[in-house]
Amino acid sequence: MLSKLIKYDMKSLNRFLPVLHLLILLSSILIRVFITGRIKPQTSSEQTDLLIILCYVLYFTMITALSTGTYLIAGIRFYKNMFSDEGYLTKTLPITNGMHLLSKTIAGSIWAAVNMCFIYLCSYIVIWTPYIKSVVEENKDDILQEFGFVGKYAHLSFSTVFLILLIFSCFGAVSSIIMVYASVALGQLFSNHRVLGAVVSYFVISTLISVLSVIVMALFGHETRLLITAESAGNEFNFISYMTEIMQISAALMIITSVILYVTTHCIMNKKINLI
Amino acid sequence: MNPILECYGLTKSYNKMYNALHNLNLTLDRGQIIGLLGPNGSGKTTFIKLLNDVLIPTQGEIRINGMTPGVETKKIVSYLPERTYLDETMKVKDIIQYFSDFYDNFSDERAYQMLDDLQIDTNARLKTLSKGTKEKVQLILVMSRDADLYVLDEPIGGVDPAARDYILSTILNNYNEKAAILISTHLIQDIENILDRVLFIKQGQLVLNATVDEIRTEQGKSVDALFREVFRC
Repeated sequence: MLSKLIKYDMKSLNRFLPVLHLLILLSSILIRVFITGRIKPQTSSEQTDLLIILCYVLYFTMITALSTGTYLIAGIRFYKNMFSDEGYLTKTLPITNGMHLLSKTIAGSIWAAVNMCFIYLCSYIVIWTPYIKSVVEENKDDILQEFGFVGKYAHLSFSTVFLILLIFSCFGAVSSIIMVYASVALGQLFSNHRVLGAVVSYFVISTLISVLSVIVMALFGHETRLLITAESAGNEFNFISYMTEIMQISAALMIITSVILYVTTHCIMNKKINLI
Repeated sequence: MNPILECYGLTKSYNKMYNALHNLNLTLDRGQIIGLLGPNGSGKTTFIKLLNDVLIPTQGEIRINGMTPGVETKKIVSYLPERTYLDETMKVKDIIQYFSDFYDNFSDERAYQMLDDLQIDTNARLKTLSKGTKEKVQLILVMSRDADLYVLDEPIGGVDPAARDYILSTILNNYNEKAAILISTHLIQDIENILDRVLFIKQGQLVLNATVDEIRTEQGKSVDALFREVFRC
């Protein structure tokens, strides 16, 4: 049953998301061919610099829109399929709410992970031009030194770091999908303003998680103020070591909050949902 | 054989001031076509939604074939809501496949036969069909299951008289001793002839539970006439 559910949930997401992602991929290729790929040191001028800055702003806006669009579509499909008129069919299938939630989480997570891979791919296309590559290659040792690829981190290559970042981002994407679904489910508790309730819930949850992150980071001694103080005092700061610790704490937080939100969504679906 | 449906003290309130359904007690046996009748806002749809687990009761208990509404009851209850509940971007044949995938008791053959009888294009997307045709498709899907309890909320309200006759004959054809059919409708005259029993609901309470024969012989009235009398404004 789960595989059938996933098949239909994927189908419903596949109606919109491939087109959205292919458009962004095409735009990235065009930016690379017509703008970033033509950047050369001798062509640098105030005007070209401005053009490049604008181009990167445009690119990051596109990427943000792509991610927002992916989560929004996943959230809308979850809402429509479970809590709107379509819910009258979904809820009367001989399948538990837990199975529905699992299937939708898997389908949404697959697309969230695909979205993340696309962002990395598009960033690679737009940013990693032959010129940038040659500059990095020329200054590789300095860059590695500056970023803290020394001592126990000396064996790490760029590609390993890239892969770790990609995996971490994909887990983050899964966690975001769980958060979007939890917001939609919490929104159903506002019986007269369900959609508004979902939007408000999303912002409340993200704010709470941000505040929690700051507190936990501070407890582990990773407060930004302390770093600045340490740097100005001349203490040695290793970026990779710092990022590794930050990612470990973030991963732990992500797992804990995701489990709490998933269980909350499940409880709401089981005990509180009335299709009016 | 145990009753197909039992309700004990069933109450549903949407807010503290108002009970859409209040202390409803009821037992229905198999092998009957039952009309669930009442004016707008009397609690018919609330009752039907509770049977199908899309609403959670405030108080009381429902038993379908001895089980509380859940996965097992959904296997044996075939529900037609009063609204379009299908993904309108899907093709009719995809919806047939969807039902076939999830309901073990769904007969593709029966569904295609009925679609053919009503000349509905199986390659058409639902959003391209008229409101009446969508309703026919939904009813075909629901009646193509070999269920123990069919729950039909306003099944003939939006279709033309010719299709209405076809639908009623379809309902009759599915009638068997093992199954019961619960139909909620305002069009009493159209369905009176196929009903075995009627339930009158008024302001969330059951005011009549009698067979059509009892109404005709003991009160000397048709169901329609009795309905007009009981619910006179």
